[in-house]
Amino acid sequence: MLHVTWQRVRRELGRLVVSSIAVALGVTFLVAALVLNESTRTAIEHSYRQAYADGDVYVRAVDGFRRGPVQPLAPVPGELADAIERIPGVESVEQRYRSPAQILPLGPRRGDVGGEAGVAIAVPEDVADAPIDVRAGRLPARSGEVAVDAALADQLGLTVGDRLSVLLPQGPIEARLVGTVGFGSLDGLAGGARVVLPRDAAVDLLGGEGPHELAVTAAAGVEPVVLRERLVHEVDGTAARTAAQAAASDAATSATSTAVAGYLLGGVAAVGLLVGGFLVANTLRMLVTQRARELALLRAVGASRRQVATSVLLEAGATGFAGALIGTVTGSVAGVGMVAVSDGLLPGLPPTSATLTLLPVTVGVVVGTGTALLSSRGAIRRASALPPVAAMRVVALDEPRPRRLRLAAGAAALLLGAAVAVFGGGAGTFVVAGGTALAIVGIGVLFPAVSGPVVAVLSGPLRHLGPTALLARQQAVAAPRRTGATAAAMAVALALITFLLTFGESLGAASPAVVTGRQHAELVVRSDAPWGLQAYLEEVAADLEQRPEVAVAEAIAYGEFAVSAGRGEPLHDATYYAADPTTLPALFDVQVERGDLAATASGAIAVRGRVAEANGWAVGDPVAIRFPDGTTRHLPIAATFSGSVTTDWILSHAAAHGHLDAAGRETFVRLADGVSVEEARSAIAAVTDGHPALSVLDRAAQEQQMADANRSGIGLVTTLLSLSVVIGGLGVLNTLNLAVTERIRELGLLRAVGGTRRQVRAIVRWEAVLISLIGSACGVLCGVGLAWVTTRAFPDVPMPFDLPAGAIGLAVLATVVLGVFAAALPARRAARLDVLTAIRT
Amino acid sequence: MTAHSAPAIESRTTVAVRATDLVKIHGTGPAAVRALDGVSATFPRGRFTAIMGPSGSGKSTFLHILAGLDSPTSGTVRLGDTELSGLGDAALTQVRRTEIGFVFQAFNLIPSLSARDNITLPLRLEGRQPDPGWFDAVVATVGLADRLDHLPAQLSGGQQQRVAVARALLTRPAVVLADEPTGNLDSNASAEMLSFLRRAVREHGQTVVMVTHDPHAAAYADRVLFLADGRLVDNLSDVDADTILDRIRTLGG
Repeated sequence: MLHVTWQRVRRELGRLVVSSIAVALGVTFLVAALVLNESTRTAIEHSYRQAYADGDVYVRAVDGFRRGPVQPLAPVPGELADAIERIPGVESVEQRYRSPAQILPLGPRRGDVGGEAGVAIAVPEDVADAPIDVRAGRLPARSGEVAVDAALADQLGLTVGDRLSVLLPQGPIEARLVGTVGFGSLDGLAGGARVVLPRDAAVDLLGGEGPHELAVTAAAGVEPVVLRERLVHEVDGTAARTAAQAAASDAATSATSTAVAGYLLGGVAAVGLLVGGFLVANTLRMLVTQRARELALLRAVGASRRQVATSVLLEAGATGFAGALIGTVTGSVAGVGMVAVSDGLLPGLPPTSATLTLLPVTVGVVVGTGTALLSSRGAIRRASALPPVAAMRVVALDEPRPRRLRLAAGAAALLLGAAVAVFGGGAGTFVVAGGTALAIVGIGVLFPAVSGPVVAVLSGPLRHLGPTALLARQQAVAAPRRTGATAAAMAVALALITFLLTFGESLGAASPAVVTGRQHAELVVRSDAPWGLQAYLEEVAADLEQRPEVAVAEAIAYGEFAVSAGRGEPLHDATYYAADPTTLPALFDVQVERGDLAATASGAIAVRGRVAEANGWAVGDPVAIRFPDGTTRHLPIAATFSGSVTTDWILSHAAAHGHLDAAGRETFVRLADGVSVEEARSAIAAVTDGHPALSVLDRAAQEQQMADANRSGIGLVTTLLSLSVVIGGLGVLNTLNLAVTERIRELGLLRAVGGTRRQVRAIVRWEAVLISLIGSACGVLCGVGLAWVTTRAFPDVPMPFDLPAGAIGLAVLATVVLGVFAAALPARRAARLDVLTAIRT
Repeated sequence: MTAHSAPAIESRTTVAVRATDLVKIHGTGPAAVRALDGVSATFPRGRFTAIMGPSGSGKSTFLHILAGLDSPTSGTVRLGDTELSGLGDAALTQVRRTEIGFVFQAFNLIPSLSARDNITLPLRLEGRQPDPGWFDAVVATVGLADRLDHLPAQLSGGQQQRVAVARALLTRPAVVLADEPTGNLDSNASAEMLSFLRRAVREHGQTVVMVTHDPHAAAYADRVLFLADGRLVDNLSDVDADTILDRIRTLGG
């Protein structure tokens, strides 16, 4: 049986190649994504191991290891160092200071380069043993001196002697660059550029309440893991990790921020594999139909159903395996190439070398082969259902009726997905995206089952385009499943593209509405510094409010906390505004429903009426809130509100005080009566000139920024997804090729009764146009529908529905052109048929 | 002069197809097979001719060459006034479309087209509408009036072959070529089919050439040609099945 299968695969290699290519394309993206992620992770881990090379166990405040590298850390009690030093097995304890920082060149180079987010650290106590090497100049010794890592110096073109501004949470300091440093073989470390401050200055500037981290060195012969166990009992109220654990968790935190490219590729891989799966399924199904006689003969001479099924399964496996192997190779090459060109593109990542591990290779081969095997189910069912008598005479292999299961599963996926996309808006973007993806899978599953009438209706106009178009239409209608399955592959690809185009366009159009709808301020002062370094905006706001041109200037802080619906209920994350309740209504669209917003000044909280209602809260009820630093507070509800302000929670600055070390801030400015924006700008410039990294945006500029950000993200995804249309084109090529083989007698007959070569070619080409058009029509319809649904899914964001008709038209045109292009080969083959060979039985 | 020119005119008007000295060699060198070895024959207009012979006698090759589906190694085929050898694919296609009607052993209908669409297919390929009167006449001849909207799969073998005959007749071709048209039919359907062909000849003056190995089928013809080993060996007119059977026995077929 194996032998028979192998002979068949060899003979039909040509027909299976296209399916293999489709699988290979999907696997390529998958493996490239994995290689990219693996390389990034390895590089980051290596880099962090270097950062933690000066100790064996590290101690931080409770949530210290969960914070990202550039987030501020809470202090550790200073006396803890002494306590730890007394623990047996501890060789030494070093107190380390660190804080987020932003580095800007001063002097003539000021403004040439944007600020660079980084981490300020102190010169180690024991420089000789510390994993820090001076590359040029020396380490800073006095206040007013700093060193930076060699990678940053290289990036910003800094040389020893340059003047810098270093923005710290407490505000900016100016300093002179006295040296550059490296870390072992690395010029820089993951997690941001390092600025080295003199130890005394760092203790003064950063360590008001104690060091941020204790680096504990184990005595000879004491395992770090064992030492950590001992420490854990001592260091109540803080967290302890071994160097390896700390490096791994830091790497994981920063890997999530560099993994976006990986996710993107992963998404495209999923689409590619889905479309590829359709192709494999279609190809095998048609091959089984064509080989009905041969397979039936095998049954007639004694092969069991199982053996026939196995032979088809093996064929699918071979197709998938070949594609998976090719895809793994091309994906690895692509991944390594991307790592090479992404050098320096990934923020906070030192130069990376590609790592090729066994994981991407294994996953690529398994997933590619598995996709093909799963896709062969229909063909296997069909093959094993063949009666042996089919070998003796032509048994009509009726198009199987749409299976109820498929109909039900497809409809359920579509409805559930659409419902989740519509009603899940409150639960976040990922839920909406998941619902959309589910709905699209539903379309793919449903399509082959309902394609008969769809094909008949959509191809109706073709009847009037002459005899060849009519014949092509009849062919397509006569085999609805074959037509449908191929069109479905194109439909899924196009649905995704249309969805993204439309949603992106609507989102882009929505940004102005979002900005202008939620705020009344004419100008916004924004900092380029990382969140956590923006506290100085509050001073800026206070200074601005002194100006006569300014009516209101208010620094809003964006904080995060976790809130529970009641005792024992799970916590979920929420963002809040920390703001002055008296000026807030002047800046944003906030309408108080019940209670008094001003009462939040005394430490109460205001919540959106809808949220309060959903949780059964009334004004005066206390709400349990857990801040990121671990403290939980019960705050009474002072007021409920509605309006298009983009938060559900409002706290006063006083209530949020002490919990905002990682918050972002923006200063909103309302102008005094009769003051023009231009007059205000110059007044504001007088205040902001003293501060680095500030920009002043009017509404138009804000709208532009948001729209650009939205469009660029979606544009990238769309470009990548266009590749799945190429896979869909392969599907058309494959289907038509098989259709030509299947209909060889018919086409020969056409020639025998007087059809010209041109007419035969035209029939095949028309069929391609038809499949592409049906696929695109359904895809566009579904994509636009889903996009419409999604724009309605965010009740708080008034989003217009904008149809990028031009772009969609282009996508459809590209699809049809691709289809006709794909048809060229089979059409040639059909036209060249020898009439006699074709009609001979 | 008159006496000489009269037969010439007559041959142009009364001969539908003339084959002259046809030779067909398959393969080359020692493996070469002479499928046809100098066959000459004329097929008069309005007559029903059967071609018989044992398997491998070259009768199918002969028919394919008459139809312009295959080309002879040497010799000529003249269809009406048209010399087939030397025509390119496009011209041959045109000839097949307008001058020749085909009936195959295996029905050869397009499964996705209804009986009506199958019958009108050659005309539609040319972009012509069938003449309604003639269409009805042809459909009546083969007795398909109530089956026109059925797909081939919904028709019996005999009905399918009648669709094929109607398709062949509709273009009023110079000649209808039938390759074992009863090969896949039972004896009742065969008899029906052959009487339809017979009627087409008698009522519409259609020329029909039919390859068969069934003496009963051949008995419907006006004339029977016998082929053996690529040569024309006999030519009988108005014979019955028993005579044909006897003749075949003497040929050793």
